[in-house]
Parts: sequence; structure tokens; C-alpha cells
Amino acid sequence: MRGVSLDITERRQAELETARQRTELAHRSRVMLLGELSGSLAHELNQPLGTIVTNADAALRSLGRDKMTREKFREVLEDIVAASRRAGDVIQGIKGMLRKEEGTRQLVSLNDVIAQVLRLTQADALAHDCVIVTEFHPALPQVEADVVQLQQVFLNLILNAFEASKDVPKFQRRVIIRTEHDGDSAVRACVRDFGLGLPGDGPERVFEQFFSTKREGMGMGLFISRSIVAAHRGTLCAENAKGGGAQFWLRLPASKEINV
Amino acid sequence: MTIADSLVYVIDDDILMLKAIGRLLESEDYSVEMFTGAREFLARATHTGPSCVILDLNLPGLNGLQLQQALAERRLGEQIIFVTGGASVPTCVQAMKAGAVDYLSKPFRGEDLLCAVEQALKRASEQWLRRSQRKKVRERLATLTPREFDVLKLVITGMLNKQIASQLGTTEVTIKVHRGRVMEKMGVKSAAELAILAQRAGIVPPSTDSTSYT
Repeated sequence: MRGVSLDITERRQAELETARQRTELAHRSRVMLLGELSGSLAHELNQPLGTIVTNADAALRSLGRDKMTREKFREVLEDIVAASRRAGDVIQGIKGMLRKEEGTRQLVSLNDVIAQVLRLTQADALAHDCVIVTEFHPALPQVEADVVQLQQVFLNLILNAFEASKDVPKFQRRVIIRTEHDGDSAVRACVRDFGLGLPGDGPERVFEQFFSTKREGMGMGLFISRSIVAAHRGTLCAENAKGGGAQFWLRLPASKEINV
Repeated sequence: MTIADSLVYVIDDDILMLKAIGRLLESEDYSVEMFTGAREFLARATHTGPSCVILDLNLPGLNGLQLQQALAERRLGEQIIFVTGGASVPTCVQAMKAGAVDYLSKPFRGEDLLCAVEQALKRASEQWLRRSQRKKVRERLATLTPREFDVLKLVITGMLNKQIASQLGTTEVTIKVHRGRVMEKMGVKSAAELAILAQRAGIVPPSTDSTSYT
């Protein structure tokens, strides 16, 4: 009897160890992703900070010369508050991504998760001359997920899509992000670029560990993304799209509660 | 040129930032027009006086550097000040090489932007003045006959009537008459004044270069 219980403990220990390693790896990958994004994140922060400083400066100058009406002052202050909130949101987003421990699972909409990620990637999209088109299904069932990890997956897919767009002419650079029902019990999201596409000898190779086409890439991003999605009982796969470019499909089981 | 004739354009896709810059400029009594995109700006009615453009580098669609190029091609002489949320050295260099007045990183000090605007409008005014003078000179030049124009080109090299006459194969008296008419039509009293006007209009004397009229 004693031997059996020990066996189970060991197996449990091994499982915990695997989970811990996955969490650790996912965290390291997020830190790297944010590193890739740091220039754009600086832009996302400098923009509201600039708004705050410039508004305050304008108000101070007007104050000295008694030029602004009360109403105008109110507008200036409201804009300062709005800009501060925006800066706060960006920092919250970064802090969330940098958090080390695994978050708790909660009910979320894929649409919201993607929208949060797009807020961080706006500047990067501009830097790559990429237009982002979203086609969100308006009444999507929620999924039960670790938001930060799901954000990480989309961040990965979206940054890859920008990267893939680099080799085609500017007017062609587009990233389409779509969400939709997949049968009654699942939802799926598609991230599609119009780049040169995936390796012909097997699109699935991009999910292999250490597969990378980037000079500074570690080749871990998609490997980890797939393991995150699998841990959510979902699938992540890739294919070359008709009409050029790559598309990635993320499929997750829908939660029972339908939230419109 | 006074501040009243000049206009400051602000182009930024971020409405909050756009409004803030507008307020800063208005607090210093500048006339301001604001746009959220390069295309809207290009579609506007052109301002007749000197103007400058405060331009966000990271605009969607037509970006800052592309707009700078488009403006340069139109030759209306708008002076450009770039502002950017994420400055990279190569784009900064490119912008300055293409003639930008200044390049400011957000968040910038109000003082710095206002200084840049003052400088930009000074440049724009000078250019605007030069351009309107050139236009006036060209209008006068257009009233000259071809023969009078030939004479003008030689007068501005400092030639005497006698020399001009021999070069053009005519008499000194005829040249004297032509020279008189040229001076009258151009509204000047001396060959030196005439030379200055000709230079403004871009006429290069034939002795130093082949005759060109650009």
C-alpha cells in the first residue's frame, strides 16, 4: 500500500514540475515578446505623456494671461485625465504580461482579448506599414482562459504577421483578424497575413521548437503558443491561405454560458 | 510680415495630442488649423501666406516623411517640424536632410515647440517674401521684348553699351534706347539694381554660364 501512494505522489510531482516549467517558459517568452515590442510601447506611453505635458503647459501659459474660460480649463483637465488613464492602461497591460505566476482561469471573450493586444501593437503596426482589419463576431460565446496567456498567443501571432508582411510591397501589407463560431461548442479566431507564406515543405514546422526565420528569434514563440492553447483544451494550427500569405487558426471550446 | 498672416498646421492622428498642441499654440496667439491625417491636410485650400506644419511622424496611411516629400513637390514652402512618440535616429536624419526645421520627441517641452514654430515661421516668411518678389520680377520680365531681354542679359554682366552693340551687331544708339526701356519696364535706375532683380528671377549672366531662365 505504501509503495502505491508514493508512486502517485511522484507522478503528481512530475506533473507539477512540467506545469511549472511550462509557466516559466511562457513567462520568459512573454518577456522576450515585450522586448521586441519595447520601441512601440515607448510610443504608446510617450503619446499620452506628451498630451498631458502639452495641455498642462498650455493651461499654465493661459493662466498667466487670464485667457482661458472656465469651460476651456475644464476641457483641458478632462483631456489630461483621459490621457493619464490611457498611460495607466498601457502600464497595466505590460505589468500583466510580465507577471510570472500563472493567472486564474476566467470567462473572457476572444474579441476583448484581441482588442487588448491590438492596443499594444498599434505603433508596431504603423512601423511595419501594416493595416489591421478586424472582423469580430458580435455575439461570440466566451471561453474559459488565462487572459494573459491568451494575450501572449495573439501577441505572438500578430507580431509574426507584421514580420511576415515585411517582404511584400507596402500596399499589400494587411493583417486580418477574424473571430467566429466553430460549431455549437467552440469558437475560433483566425490571424491572416499577406506575406510570402509558410515553408512549402510543411506549414506545421513553424510550431517546432527552435524554428525561426527571424535573425534574433529563439524559435520558441509558436511552440509555446501551441502548448498554451493545448493547455486550454484547444488547438492552434497554420496553413497557407488561398490568395497568398499565412493564416493561423486558434480554436477553443466555448463556455456553456453564452454571453452576448 | 506679421504673425497675423501666418498659419500653423498641426497634423496628428491622436485627437488628444492634436487638441493639446492646438491649445499651446493658441495660448501664444498663433492661428492654427488641425488635421487628423495627411490626406485631409493635402485636400485643404492652400494658405496664401507663410505657414508651417507640425507633423506627427507616425501617421497611418501617408506617413510623415511621405507627406514631407509631397509638400516639397508642391513647392508652397511650408516649413516642417516633426514630432514623434518613438524617435529613431535614421528617420530623424532623413527628416532633417529633407529640410525639416526641427524634430521633437514626445513628450516635448512647450517652450521647445514654440521656439521651433517661431523659427519655422521666420523661415517661411523669408521664403514667402522672396517668392513674391520673384513673382513680381517675372511679371515685369514678361513685358520685355525678346530683343530687350537679350540686352538685359548683357547689361547685367557689366558690359558697356558699345560692347553690347558689337556683340548684338547693332549700333550703340539703338542699345541705349533698349537699355532705357528695360530699366523703365523693370522699375530700376541702375545696372546694379537690374542685376539684383535678374538674380532673384534666376537669370544667370551668359559670361559665367550658358543663359538660363528657370
